[in-house]
Amino acid sequence: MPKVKVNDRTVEVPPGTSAMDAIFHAGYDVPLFCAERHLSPTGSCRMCLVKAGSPRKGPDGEWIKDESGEIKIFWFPKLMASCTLAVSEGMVIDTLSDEVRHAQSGMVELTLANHPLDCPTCDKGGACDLQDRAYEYGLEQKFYTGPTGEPVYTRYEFSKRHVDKHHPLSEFIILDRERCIHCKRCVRYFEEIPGDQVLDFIERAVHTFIGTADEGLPSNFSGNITDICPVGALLDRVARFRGRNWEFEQTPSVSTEDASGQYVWIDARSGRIERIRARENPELNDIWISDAARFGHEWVDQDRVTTPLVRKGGSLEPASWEEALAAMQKGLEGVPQERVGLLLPGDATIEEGMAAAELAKTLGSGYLDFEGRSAVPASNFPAATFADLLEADYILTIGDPTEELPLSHVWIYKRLRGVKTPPRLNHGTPIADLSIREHTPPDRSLLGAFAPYPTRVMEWAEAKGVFEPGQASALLGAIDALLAGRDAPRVAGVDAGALKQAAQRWRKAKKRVLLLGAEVLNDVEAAQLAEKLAKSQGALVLAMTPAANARGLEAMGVWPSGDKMPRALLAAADNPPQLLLDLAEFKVFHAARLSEVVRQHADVVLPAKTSYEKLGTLLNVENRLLELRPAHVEAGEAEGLIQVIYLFAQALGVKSSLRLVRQARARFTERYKINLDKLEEFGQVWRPRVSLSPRPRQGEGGNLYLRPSMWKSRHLLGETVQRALGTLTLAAHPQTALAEGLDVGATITLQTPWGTQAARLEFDDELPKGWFFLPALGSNPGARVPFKALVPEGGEAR
Amino acid sequence: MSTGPIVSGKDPRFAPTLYAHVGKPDSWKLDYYLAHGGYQTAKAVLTGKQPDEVVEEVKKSGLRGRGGAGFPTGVKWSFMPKDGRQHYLICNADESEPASFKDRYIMEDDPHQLIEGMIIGGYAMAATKGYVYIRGEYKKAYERLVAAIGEARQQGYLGKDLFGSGFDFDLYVHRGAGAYICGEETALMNSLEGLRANPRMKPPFPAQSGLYGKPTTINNVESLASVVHIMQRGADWFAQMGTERSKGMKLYQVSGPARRPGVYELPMGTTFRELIYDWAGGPTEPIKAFIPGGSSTPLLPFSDEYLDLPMDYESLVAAKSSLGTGGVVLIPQSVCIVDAIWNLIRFYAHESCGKCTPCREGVSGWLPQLFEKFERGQATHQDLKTMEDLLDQIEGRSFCPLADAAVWPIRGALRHFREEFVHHIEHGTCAVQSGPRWR
Amino acid sequence: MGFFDDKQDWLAEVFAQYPEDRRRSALMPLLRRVQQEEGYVSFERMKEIAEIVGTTATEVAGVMSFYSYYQGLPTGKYHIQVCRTLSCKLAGSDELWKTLVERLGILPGEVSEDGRFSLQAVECLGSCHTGPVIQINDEHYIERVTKERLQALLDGLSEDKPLEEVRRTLPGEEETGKHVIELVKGGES
Ligand SMILES: Cc1cc2nc3c(=O)[nH]c(=O)nc-3n(C[C@H](O)[C@H](O)[C@H](O)COP(=O)(O)O)c2cc1C
Ligand code: SF4
Ligand code: FES
Repeated sequence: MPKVKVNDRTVEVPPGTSAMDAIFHAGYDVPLFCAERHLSPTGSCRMCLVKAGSPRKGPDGEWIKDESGEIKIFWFPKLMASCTLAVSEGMVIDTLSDEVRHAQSGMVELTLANHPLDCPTCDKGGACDLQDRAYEYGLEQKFYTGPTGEPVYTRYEFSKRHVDKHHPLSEFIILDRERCIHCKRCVRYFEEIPGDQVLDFIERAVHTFIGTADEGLPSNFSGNITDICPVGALLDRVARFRGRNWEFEQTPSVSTEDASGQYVWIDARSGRIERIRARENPELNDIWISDAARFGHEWVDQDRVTTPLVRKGGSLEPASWEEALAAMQKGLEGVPQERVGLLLPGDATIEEGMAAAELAKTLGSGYLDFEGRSAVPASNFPAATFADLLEADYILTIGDPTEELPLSHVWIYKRLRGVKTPPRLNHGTPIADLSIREHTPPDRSLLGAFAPYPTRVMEWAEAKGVFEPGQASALLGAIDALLAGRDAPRVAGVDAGALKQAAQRWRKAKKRVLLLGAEVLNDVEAAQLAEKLAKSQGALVLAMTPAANARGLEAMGVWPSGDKMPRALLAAADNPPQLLLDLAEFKVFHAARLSEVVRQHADVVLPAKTSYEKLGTLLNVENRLLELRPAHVEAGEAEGLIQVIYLFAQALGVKSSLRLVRQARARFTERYKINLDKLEEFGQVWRPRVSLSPRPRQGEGGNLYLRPSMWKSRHLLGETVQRALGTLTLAAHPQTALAEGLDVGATITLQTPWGTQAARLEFDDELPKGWFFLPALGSNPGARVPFKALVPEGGEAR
Repeated sequence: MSTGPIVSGKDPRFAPTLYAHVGKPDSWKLDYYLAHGGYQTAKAVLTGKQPDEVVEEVKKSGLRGRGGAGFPTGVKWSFMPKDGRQHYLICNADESEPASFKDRYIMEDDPHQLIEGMIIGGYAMAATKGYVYIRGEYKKAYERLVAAIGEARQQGYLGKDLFGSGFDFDLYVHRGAGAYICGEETALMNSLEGLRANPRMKPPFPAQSGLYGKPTTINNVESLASVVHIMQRGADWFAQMGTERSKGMKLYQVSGPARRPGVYELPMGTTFRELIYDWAGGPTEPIKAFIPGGSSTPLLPFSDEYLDLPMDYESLVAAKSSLGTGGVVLIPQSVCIVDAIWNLIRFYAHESCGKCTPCREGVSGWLPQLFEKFERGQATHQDLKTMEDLLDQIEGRSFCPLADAAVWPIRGALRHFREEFVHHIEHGTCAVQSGPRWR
Repeated sequence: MGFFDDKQDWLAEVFAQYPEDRRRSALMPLLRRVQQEEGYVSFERMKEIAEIVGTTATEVAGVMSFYSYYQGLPTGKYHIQVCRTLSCKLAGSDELWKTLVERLGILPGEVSEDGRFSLQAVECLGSCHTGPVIQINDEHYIERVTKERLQALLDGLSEDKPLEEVRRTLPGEEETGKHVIELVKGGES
């Protein structure tokens, strides 16, 4: 490893490391604006200029010496941008001399030349790289003296560039073009991380500005640009003007929007969540989070249930906990214990799952379930880690990674661009990783993508195909046949050549990763074929269940067993199946907000903490234990599920041994020898042994396909998300829609077993005929359900 | 005058070579070219020499890149790996530096010469595909070049198995659309790939990873045309022209108030005096300064000392300027230096690609504002100091040399004509009054 | 209808110049074709081009706005581009520009009322020895634009004569078109 001398310290860094990272590794600082972890270095801001030189070898292969016999350093004739300079053996870097500081102060001055000084009203104030550097370099009096020698703090006396100051790029993001310092982080980000070319520089020279000519920004990973913009040019519109950076209480936690468990910071102020930002986890989400994880928090303080509620004379009335307990005791009276059901949310923690499983066991009840459960347990598949994707030489996706497990989209794209796992230096991830190159096209041969509708990742796939909903088993069967060297039966809609190509690449690959979506996980036959494919061929699997803690809950034994429907229910889920609600006589809801379902069905409501407010543990899609930590949110008497289960048990007259997270953790440690209080910084892989048998879901059949979507119905309560998503779209092949008497643009009210929903009809001729596609919004992705379409006037369209 | 190196266009041993056919009727047609020995050199090289021998010969000739930087062409060629990957040869015909217009007539009047040069270059570097990146405004040159390529392809001089040598080479023309930065080799590659033409990071150098990530060499039109003659007449013939480290002949250009402004092919080392007086017919009005090598090279006073400088790379560096592309501009006494330089600064401000801070905010943003202040007569001594400080902060700090190219003309002007800037400060007007110049 | 729908052969020819998986290289030729025929590149066309070369309208806009040749707004039938860089300036291009602005009564970005003319000041056209130089549309340069030649040019264009013909018949065109080489010889004699 090359030895590099930074000022007075000598460090060793891996070959190919940038001078910038060598400087940080050595514990020195160098200013920067354009370099950013995980993005290609461009060397465009010129802020990180340093003086550098290296020794040279003579023709004899020995280092050339100077007169005094020391190894001679050949200095580069110019100052060098340290972010784009690779270290070499014996390199000497100077960051402290006057020459270097002078050059850097010059870059700060130039950067500020056209930057508005509106820090008092800028959300970035207090957390702005430019502000910090201006403070640091702005007092270089030496270079800023007026005619009579007095210090002058600026000599830029011209009017600054005036351009669009409030330019909404999307409902989520607003751009202030005057503040932009042209670091190009946002442009590189979109191109290199989610792989969308939706933002670019327009014009050139001093007129260059950031813009888009496409309709808004795709809202899957757009929010990350607000984190990485070094100034206040790109701001989160949900959080804008909601607090200064130093006023927020920042809680490190984990997002429960999907099964990846992205690391987040929850920024709260006066008991309210104002902003969510990405928190670095190099093994999981780098410094990126999905838009749902970032912007999907607005609902938390809306319609909040703050005290227990008890149904009195038809309406839900505020009550004390004692009254609620009494009401529950009364309602549960006479219900046989084995007919009491427990329905957990998909993001219930391991600790909560443990308590629920214990209670179900005590009761002898078979109805123990969680929302977002798939027909086949996710634990049946050997879990891949995201990092495995970087090693894979073939990735096969059956489903929609972008929507079902947003992070996997990012990792797949990293792999296709040839990104390697970066080394860890003293300061963490390299800031200017010279192995990442701008404009690297994805290597399509590494990806095969199949789904019941065209997905985003298909754009990068060499082998791809759209099959009909419900035909996942046919597809997997055909792949199985091809791999066994047999002739494959035709799969409707899928090109036989593409399938063959995928099978071929799969066979040749040494490290394979399989991504399975709801389409497979909810189809017992397909899931079993997939399991065979993975196990017989040695592939690792990312089972993309919608439940954030599916693997954790399964490990705790939260899984239905009997066939009897419960007569009384503790429901902690957003959207319990209609059948369940209809059959249960007595329903206790543990809910954070008073949704329509709760309003209609609850006999007792107990105020719930949201996942932003809990302490607990999740086991993510990779089998990684992650810790949820509570942010300070003002939510009245809200309680966690574990406490509520304890109370519910009490109402049933049985004893639960777990009343506190602490107790559950102690039990966990005892059983599995892992201390959940002391997980590793980036989470810890744990492979529980789980054996559960498939449980097909009910209510299938029909030609409305509930398409997986990153957004959940609760998100729509947020004003911004609501505006961003607009009316839901019901998509269908034009022939299919017209045959049903539905025309493009029609606003339709849909009645489905999962409730009533308004949507606008859109044509898409790439969709399989005979089907309608509606975003599932969390309720039951991948389900095929019957529906009724009503035109607005109430007239029946079919 | 018939021994020793040839350093004058008047030396009887010297005859125009690159421009030998420029201006002749039908000179751009294949028949004409063949009648004058066309494609014989390529044939001889491809069938009689190893690629390495070609590179050696070009190295030996001492040819240095004619695109402005003067890097030895043979050495550049030797950087290309021997790896069996697709290699590319790109001809830089962007010619956007103000005061340069030499490549244009090669393409307009002798396009086959360039094609032949590219075949030889392609062979030497195992590049089977070539692109000519031509500035978008050169319509006539484009048409003639495309027609010539068509003719050559038809004759089998381009395409598969050239001259039975087994070497394949094909050539395409890509048109620019008005951006000076596309002359910078990495920006050019981005432009060819359909990206914004911002320069790319080096390393990796084009020879490792250039166009489409493949090994690529980029040469100027004149450099490639010169190769034909080096291979035809030998490195020694080429090297007998010019000075110690600047060999061969070169195309010099004269513009501004000269009797016969135009392109002149002369041996390296010819003096400015010979170029301006003996070839361009001398000035048509009193001159105070001249730009020696294209807009980015610092101007020099029009005095005996500088007129007698030999036009080679080293002499100009010694005079704190540069040979650049050899584009000489005469600046008359009646024109204000501040005004003339302001014109060039506006050019660079307009052409900055906007990628890096010093160029975008300094060259494109701040410098023009300072110049405007001078023009309006509102500048102070402090502004002059600020400008000089600013030049220090820009020069050598930008991503690519465009910003330096904007700094140098000001440096030259301040070195030799500082009093005209001071005049603007003290009197609020130009030191000289320029009358109408349009006829 | 798309602009390129009936130009499939031409498209194929353009794409053949570049590696198969590098369709994006055709971005500039496609933009040029639209600019040539429609006088500017509308948003619709950007989207169409994006689709054809496999990228987004944003990328097309980013590339398009980088170059001075492509126009985002409609131009006149004759889009007059006047070189204003040093050598042409020394030959009087400032005055030439002023004259044009006054005579046509338009500023850059505008089109004359009759739809004939639009104006653009451009940087060095690479014909510094024959300044002042103008270029109209994507056609051959008009060099050494004297007052007399400008008058004849505008007269010719106002009568809608073909541009090439007007250029060829400008007063002194024969001399102007001659090469310096010939001129040198003339000077020697
Ligand atoms: C801003 C800038 C503009 C340039 N413009 C041109 C040009 O128009 N034509 C050219 O041949 N070289 C130009 N060059 C030089 C090229 O980058 C490159 O060095 C040259 O084409 C190499 O060819 P040569 O080795 O034959 O000179 C330019 C360089 C810079 C930095
Ligand atoms: S908007 Fe922000 S991130 Fe994007 S280029 Fe400007 S300063 Fe950089
Ligand atoms: S040039 Fe921007 S960080 Fe190095």
